Amino acid sequence: MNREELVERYFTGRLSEDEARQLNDALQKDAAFAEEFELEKDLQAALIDKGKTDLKSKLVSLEAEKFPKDQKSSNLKWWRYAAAAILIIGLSLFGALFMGDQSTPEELYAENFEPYRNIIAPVVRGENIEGLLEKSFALYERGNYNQAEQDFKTLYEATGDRYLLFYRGNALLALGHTEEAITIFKSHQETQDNFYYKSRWYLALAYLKMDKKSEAVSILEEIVTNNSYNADKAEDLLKELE
Amino acid sequence: MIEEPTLEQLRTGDAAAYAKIYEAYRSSFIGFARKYELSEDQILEVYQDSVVKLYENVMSGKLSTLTSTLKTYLFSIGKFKIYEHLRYSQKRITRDELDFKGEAFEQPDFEETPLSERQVSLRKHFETLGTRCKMLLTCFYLKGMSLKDIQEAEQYENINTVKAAKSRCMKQLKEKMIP
Repeated sequence: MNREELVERYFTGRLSEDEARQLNDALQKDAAFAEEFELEKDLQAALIDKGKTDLKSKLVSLEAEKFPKDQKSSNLKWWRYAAAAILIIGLSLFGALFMGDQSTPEELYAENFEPYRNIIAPVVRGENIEGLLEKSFALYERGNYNQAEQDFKTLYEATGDRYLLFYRGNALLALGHTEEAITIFKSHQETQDNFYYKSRWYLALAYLKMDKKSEAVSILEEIVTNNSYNADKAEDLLKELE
Repeated sequence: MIEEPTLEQLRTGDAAAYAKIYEAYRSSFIGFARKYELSEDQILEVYQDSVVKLYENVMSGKLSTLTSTLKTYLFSIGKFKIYEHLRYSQKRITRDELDFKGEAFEQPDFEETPLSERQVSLRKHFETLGTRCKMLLTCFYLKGMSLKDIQEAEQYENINTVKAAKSRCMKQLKEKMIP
C-alpha cells in the first residue's frame, strides 16, 4: 500500500495494526512526509475544535428552546443570588476591616499552589505496583515528593518523556525548591506539549513564591489573554497583585 | 434507554445525533449530578461540555470501539468533569467518592487540551478558503470520508480530480499560513 493510501486510511479510521506500522516506518524514514502528516493532523485538530464550538452553541440553544426555566425556579434563584451577594459583601467588609492590606505574593502563592494531579499512571490501590513509572506517580500522589522527584529525574533521563519535567517541577515546588522548579519548568516549556499551558501557570506561581512580581504578572497576563489553563484564577491573582 | 446511534453514525459529525443523545440522558444526568455541590446551571454546563467531549473523542478516533453503552461513556466524562469542577473550586472530593474505581477509560482522554499556535492559525485561515475547499477538507479530515465517498457525494469527475483538488486546497491553506 502506498503512503497516500495509508494516510487516507488513517483519516478514515480504517488503519489496521499492520498498516499503522507501515505508516510509522514511512514517517520515521522521511522527515518531509512526517512534516506534511503533522500539518494534516493539526488541521484535523483545528476542524474538530471548530466542530466543538458549533456543537456547544447548538446545545445551548437547544437547552433554551426545549427546556425553558419556569418562573418559580428563577424566582428562587434570584433570592439565592441576592443572599449570596449579601454574604459576599459582608465577608469582604469583614475582610477589609480585620485582615489588613493586600496579601503578599508569597501568601498568594500559598493560597493557589496545589501540585498538579496525577493523570499519567492511575494508581490502583491494594494491587502490586509495578514499574518505576507507576511507583513514582504513586509516591507523588501520596505526597512523597522527595522520592518522586528523584524518580521523575531518572525516568526523564531514561525515556525523554517531557511530561516528566512538568511533574518534576511540581514536586520541586511542593518541596519548596522553587529556584530549581523554575529551571525545570522553563526547560519543559521549550516545546509545547499537552502540559505546556499548565506548566506556564505553575511557573507563574513559582515566580510569586520568589517574590518576582513582574515575571509572574507577565505570565499571568499571557494566561488570561490566551484563555488557557486556570485563566480565571490568573485574572483573580492579577487583581490582587495590582 | 433510547436506541443509541452507532459510532459510525456519530463519526459523520451529524449534530442531530448528538442533540438526540443530549436530550435522551439530560434528566438522568441532572439527577446524578445533584448529589454534588453544583448549581443547576453548572450541571447543565458540565453536561453540555461532556457531550462536546464525546464528539471530540469520536471525531479524533480516540473512541474507536465502545466497550459499554454510549450513556455509560458519556457519564464517565461527566463524572470526570464534575471532579475537575469541584477540585478547581477547592471543594474537597476524592476520586473514590465519585466512584471512578473500575472504570476502564483513560481519563487523560477526558482532559481539555488547548490548541497549539499552529492549530489556532489553521483554524483561522481555514475560514478564509473558498466554499468548495472548505467542504472537501472537512469531508476528508473531519468526517473521515474516503476519496471515493467524496467523489460521489460532491460529484467530482473521478478520484484523481478529488486528489488534485485536495492538494490545491492544502497548498492554498499553507500559503495563507506564511506570515
